[in-house]
Amino acid sequence: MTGNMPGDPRRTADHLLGPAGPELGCDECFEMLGAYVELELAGAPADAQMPLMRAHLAGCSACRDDHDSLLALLLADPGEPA
Amino acid sequence: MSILRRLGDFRGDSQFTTWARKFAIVEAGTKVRGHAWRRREIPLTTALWPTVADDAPGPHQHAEAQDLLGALREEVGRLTARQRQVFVAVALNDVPIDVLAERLNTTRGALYKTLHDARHKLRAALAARGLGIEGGWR
Repeated sequence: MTGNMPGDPRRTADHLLGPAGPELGCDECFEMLGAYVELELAGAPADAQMPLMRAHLAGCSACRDDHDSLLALLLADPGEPA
Repeated sequence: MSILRRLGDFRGDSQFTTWARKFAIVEAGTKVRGHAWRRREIPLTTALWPTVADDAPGPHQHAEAQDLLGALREEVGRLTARQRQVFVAVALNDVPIDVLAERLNTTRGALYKTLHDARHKLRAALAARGLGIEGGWR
């Protein structure tokens, strides 16, 4: 987030300041990550069922990377049948 | 392997293979991020504070952007030393939070709590100045 601020500073500030509302912490995110990704893969309303998870993923780039990697892995190889 | 020590924690809220792969993914991600930063100094200053780009829609928006950035920078200076250290490294300079946790000999969760508190304080301070940031250009 260094360098020139893009055209809309409010969006940049929003990125710096993270989610405005409540969110999970990293430890809770880790605990719930598997169930959350499985809901996403099933096309279920993951964010409605775990509303604080999406906020944390928006605010924590390391957890977002881990989420994206797990999602990509399960998409490529779903593993055992549900 | 760390997963073997955690077998008793499996609660069945996801498939076992998903649960097991989660450990591998997080461990691999932590190692990749750590490797990428292994010889890099953690930036803890605001020397690279973003500047207002020239593509603001007009003079009013350009001035507004400068006001917002200036206020935010001032408020960052009012954070506690620990909050400022974490905010500057993670939010401003994009240091992965697990890399910073390893350097500071603490946990990712503890640092994120500090970052969350810093962000909350900054949002409140900007709102008190009439600089709430929700939404785009007015």
